Amino acid sequence: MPKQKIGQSLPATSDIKSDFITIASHQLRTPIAGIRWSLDTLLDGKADKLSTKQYELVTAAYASNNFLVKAVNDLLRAARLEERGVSLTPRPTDLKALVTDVIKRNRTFIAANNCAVTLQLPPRVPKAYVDPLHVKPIIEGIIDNAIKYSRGDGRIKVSLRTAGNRYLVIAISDRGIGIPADQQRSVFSRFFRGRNAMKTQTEGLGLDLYIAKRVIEASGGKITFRSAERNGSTFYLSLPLQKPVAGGSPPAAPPVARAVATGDALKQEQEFVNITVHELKAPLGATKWSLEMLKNQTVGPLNRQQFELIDHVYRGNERLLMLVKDLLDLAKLHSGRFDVSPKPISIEPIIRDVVTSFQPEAAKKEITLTVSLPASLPRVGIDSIRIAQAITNIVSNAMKYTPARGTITVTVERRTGRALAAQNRRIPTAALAHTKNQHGYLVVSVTDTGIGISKAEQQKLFTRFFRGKGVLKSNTEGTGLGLYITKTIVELHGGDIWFTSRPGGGSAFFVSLPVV
Amino acid sequence: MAKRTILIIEDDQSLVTLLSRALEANHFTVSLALDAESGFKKAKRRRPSLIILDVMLPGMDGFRCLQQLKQDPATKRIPVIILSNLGQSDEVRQALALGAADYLVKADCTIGQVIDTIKQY
Repeated sequence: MPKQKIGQSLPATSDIKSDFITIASHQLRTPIAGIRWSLDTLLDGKADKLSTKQYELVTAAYASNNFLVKAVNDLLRAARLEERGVSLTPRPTDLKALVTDVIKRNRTFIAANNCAVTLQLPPRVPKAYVDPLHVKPIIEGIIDNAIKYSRGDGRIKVSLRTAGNRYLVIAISDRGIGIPADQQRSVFSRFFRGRNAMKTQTEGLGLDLYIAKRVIEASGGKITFRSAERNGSTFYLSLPLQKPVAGGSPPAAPPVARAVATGDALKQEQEFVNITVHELKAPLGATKWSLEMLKNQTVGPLNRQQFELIDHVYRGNERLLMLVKDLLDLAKLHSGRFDVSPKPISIEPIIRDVVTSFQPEAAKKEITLTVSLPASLPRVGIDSIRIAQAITNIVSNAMKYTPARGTITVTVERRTGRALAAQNRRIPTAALAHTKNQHGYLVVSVTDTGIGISKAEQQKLFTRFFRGKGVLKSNTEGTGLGLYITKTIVELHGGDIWFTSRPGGGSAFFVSLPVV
Repeated sequence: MAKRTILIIEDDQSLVTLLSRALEANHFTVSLALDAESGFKKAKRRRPSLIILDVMLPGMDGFRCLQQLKQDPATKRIPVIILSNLGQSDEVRQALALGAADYLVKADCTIGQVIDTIKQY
């Protein structure tokens, strides 16, 4: 990925949106922000007081949301670091002001954990030559750790001093649980978590210190620590006062992007996705239960505003769960662990089951959802679970984009490979790769009277994270991964997916599956 | 003292509702725009005392909107706080270089912190 020159050219939104990790994070952060702000509003009591039990549940949801925020941020920073290397814009930075600000901003969190932070400053603190945007989250992360692992004795000391005329040293010490001696050598490796830290029920991904070391070394500084189990830890950040000179010590890692081979990038992306998925699933699942209890009002009544806020949090949480599920599918697809085991079966019961599952929603939206199948159909070679997932995705899209009193029709018909090949010439959006099966194909079609897809959007329909323009404005739920996953499933079966659509005139999606 | 008007340019309706509710409780007047084009027009017409601007917006994106706001004599002195869910150092740097007064990541701050930041300007 080419490095962005700051302040020179503006990337178009499409560029901002083009890389996977940024989009995944943005997609995750959006509902997270919505959840956080709704919970804020509930907790500040402006929407009426909550009972003790309700308050506990909302606070628990708040804590798990906080964890999600940090998890997504850390993963994003780590992923970016691997992808581009450390790219810094250092300048003379007033660290006294920066540290003071970090402590001030976190005062609520400090107080909530029964901690007290004292700051020791020499009479004059020279500026350090670092990138404040990178150094600030590092200092914040280490103070955050000091607070989390304090346990019982919450006296935390932060001091600044100069070492010779080369470094400014920030020392952050706590009297907490410390780091076990045999684990101390891996403190700066990825996903490190102390054995004793895991027992404290604090959550963390173990990325802070990994990122910190890389960034600080690239700045021409160093990070060290002293720690003993049950006896606290002190972290020392030595930051350069001047621009590091070439050949000086410590050796400054050049702040250039490391070239990443495509295979590596893919592997890193997968690791990112896998860990994101697993780390995020647990808090989301727990929150879902809390929210259901609140929503059902089994733990006490809610007024209208409170109910709306809880409902909003609930929907945000559902959206996150859906996103995490889709990301997991995506990760499996990429690593080739997405299993498709085709068997010769009849597609009829699968189609009927999918359609039946959508009937209640169709009735609610006053949409006429019908199935039309010929009297007899040959068997196709399919994995029933995966094909059900693919058809569900397509019908679910049709449901989303079809307004009230519209119709959705699902049909299946048999076509020869030659007839399908002829379509490539007639339908510009069809690029069928599978037309050679000697028994021909069954083509499942889902036709709606919905909003349709514009010409420009038609080009990008099957790309990851695609969402139609009108969609961003509506309240439609979706991750933009559905059609991408659907296409992959269908292709793994030796079939194709294509569509016809006219803006305002509805869409029709077609899936071909080989007859056995 | 006259109430200060805050213009929010943001397409996420639910966040807008929560934020404007909190701003009104803190005695601000709130003006809204759901996309950058109409936000820019509103800024020129209403001259708010501060603008909260999202980055990922339908149509023109927030960075371009910020650039226009800072180039137009009618709006260039109005402090703009970016409130986005993009928040890599590159994006923060770019926004500050274009003249944003501050940069907040939605998921990283509470509504209270957003209000505190607004009060500083």
